[in-house]
Amino acid sequence: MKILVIEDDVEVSNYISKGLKEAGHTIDQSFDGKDGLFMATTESYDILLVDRMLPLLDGLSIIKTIRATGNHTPTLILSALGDVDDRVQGLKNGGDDYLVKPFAFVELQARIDALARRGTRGFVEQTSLSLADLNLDLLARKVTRSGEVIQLQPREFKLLEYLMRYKGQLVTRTMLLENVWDYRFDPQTNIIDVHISRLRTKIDKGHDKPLLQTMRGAGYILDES
Amino acid sequence: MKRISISHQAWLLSTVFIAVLAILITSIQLSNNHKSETEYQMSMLSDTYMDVYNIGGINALDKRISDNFYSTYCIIIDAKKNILFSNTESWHIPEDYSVGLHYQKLSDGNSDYLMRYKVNQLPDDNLLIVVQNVSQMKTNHSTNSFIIIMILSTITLAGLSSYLLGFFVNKRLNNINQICAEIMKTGNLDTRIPHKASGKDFDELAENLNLMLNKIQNLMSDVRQVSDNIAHDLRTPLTRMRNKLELLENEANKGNNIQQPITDLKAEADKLLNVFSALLRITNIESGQRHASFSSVDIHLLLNDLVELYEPLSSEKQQRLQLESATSFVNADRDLLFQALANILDNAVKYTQKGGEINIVLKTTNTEIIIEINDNGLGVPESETSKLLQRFYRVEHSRNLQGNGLGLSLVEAVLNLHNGSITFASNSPGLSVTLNIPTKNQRLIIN
Repeated sequence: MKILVIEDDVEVSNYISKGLKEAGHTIDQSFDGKDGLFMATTESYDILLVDRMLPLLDGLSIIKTIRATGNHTPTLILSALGDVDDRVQGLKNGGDDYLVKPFAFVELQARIDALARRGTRGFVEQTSLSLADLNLDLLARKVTRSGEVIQLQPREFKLLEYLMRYKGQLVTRTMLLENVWDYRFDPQTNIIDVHISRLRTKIDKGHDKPLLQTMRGAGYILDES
Repeated sequence: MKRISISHQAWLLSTVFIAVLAILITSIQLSNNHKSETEYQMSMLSDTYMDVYNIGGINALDKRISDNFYSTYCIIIDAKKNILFSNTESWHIPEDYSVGLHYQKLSDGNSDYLMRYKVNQLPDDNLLIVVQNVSQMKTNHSTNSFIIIMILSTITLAGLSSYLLGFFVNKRLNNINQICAEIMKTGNLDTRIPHKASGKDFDELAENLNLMLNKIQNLMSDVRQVSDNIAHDLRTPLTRMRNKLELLENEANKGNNIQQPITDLKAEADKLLNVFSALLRITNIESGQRHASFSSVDIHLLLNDLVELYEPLSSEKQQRLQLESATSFVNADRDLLFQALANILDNAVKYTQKGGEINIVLKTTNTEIIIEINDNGLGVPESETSKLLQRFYRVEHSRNLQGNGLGLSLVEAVLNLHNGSITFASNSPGLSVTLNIPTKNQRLIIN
């Protein structure tokens, strides 16, 4: 993927770029708002990473401007301003996701992957999701593995649905809290782990191939191993 | 030029004001008094002269007037205007001799006079005229000087008393000023402004200033304590990190696999970052500038989500987690309220042993909602409940458990934002946490 990183802190910018390059992406870097806006409008990118506080032109103005020209490139806002108000403001102005600094690189990577998928595939038309012999019927809200019906609680169904949509991709705990539980908060203990292990028991127990994996210190991946 | 202090300005102003007032009032009073007094005099004289004439005739009148001490003349004329009696040569018969009071201007070539005369009808058809030279008339000197003395002494007294008042006001203000300046210069917040318990004006001011000093002192000590705690609590993980880096260096030198120490280091750094984020979050919430995210929140739904989120964790410990609630709405920041409740429930699950019991009860009144989170776990000694909200404070038996001592500080900040309160009580055994949140939150009006 071709990604534009608009970030004035050279060290942070290089850190992001290096990591993303290693993950196989093509990276353009821009260190101020004006230059960033110029690059975002003259070249075509798959993803934009925009810092909020930039010299010459702030990040929100860049996003507003490019959105006004009908450019809908998925945009991830990076910011040290992490308040709910700030997030809401960022998303209202056309940002697609919001990541508060400091962040772990895996979190950034996972969100970029999620954004890229959202950009290419429409979720709406899908009525079922499947991975290997695991099948999720979104209309009947029924889950089967190798034809066997698995009983899930509503929240477990939602959790599995989210993981299936981003199958093969790292999904972080915060992403799950925000999207499955719909609360933005920091749990003091890792309650998500417990939910995942419950789900794992239900979908993987008695099957040769485990599908749900925990990446220590990062998150979870639902994939054929 | 040195500026005059307010109290002196007030003194000057009031003196001038009183002086002007005194002069104005006396001059008006004097002219009024004088006029009515002389008119009264005239009618009294007229009556007296008439009585004398009626009893003793002109002879008696002549005799009477000779020992008259008023500067007044008397003339008697008959119906044909012949003068029957007069004790003045300088005055002739006026043109107008109808009964009543008259004024007439006269001139003797050198100066003008204003004469006042009263014409009275006598029983024998003669006319008795009493005349006074009004222009020559002067106020009684003794009365005049008395009034002037009165005015002057009033002014002096007023001036003196207001000067004294100003002096004392100034003295007290200077006193307060001096102490304030001293506190600012030395930074010594122990000093207080002395005052009596009268509760009036300056005492009230002094008392309020003292209360403000108390508040500042408390805030300062809070800040000092927090930064002490931060320094202390962050030094430990930093030391641990440093030790691990040393270890890493050794392992790397030996050519060993260093994946594990690196993972540990990252986890340690994350913990530190979390502490900072939590601190920043608390400060952010406490600054109270998050009104935009207030909305009507169904607390019943929120509690259900919370219980559902924590149910797997507590059932791992075979705890009984029960919720007793009904739909009710409160104006709140949904995410923050969830965070606050999660922090409390997290503690309850953490500090309640296997097979314990946790009850969440939602009660509502007309004005507020009450959420109780009760457990029968380890509890908190009565003496320590007041310290639970302090940043970085951890109960002794919890120090080896996961946590940073900021959870309840955040809860308090969230409740303050909602004008609510948190109280702790013993559940014997265990802890009972009660949250009170007003349903009508003032802050919503801002939106």
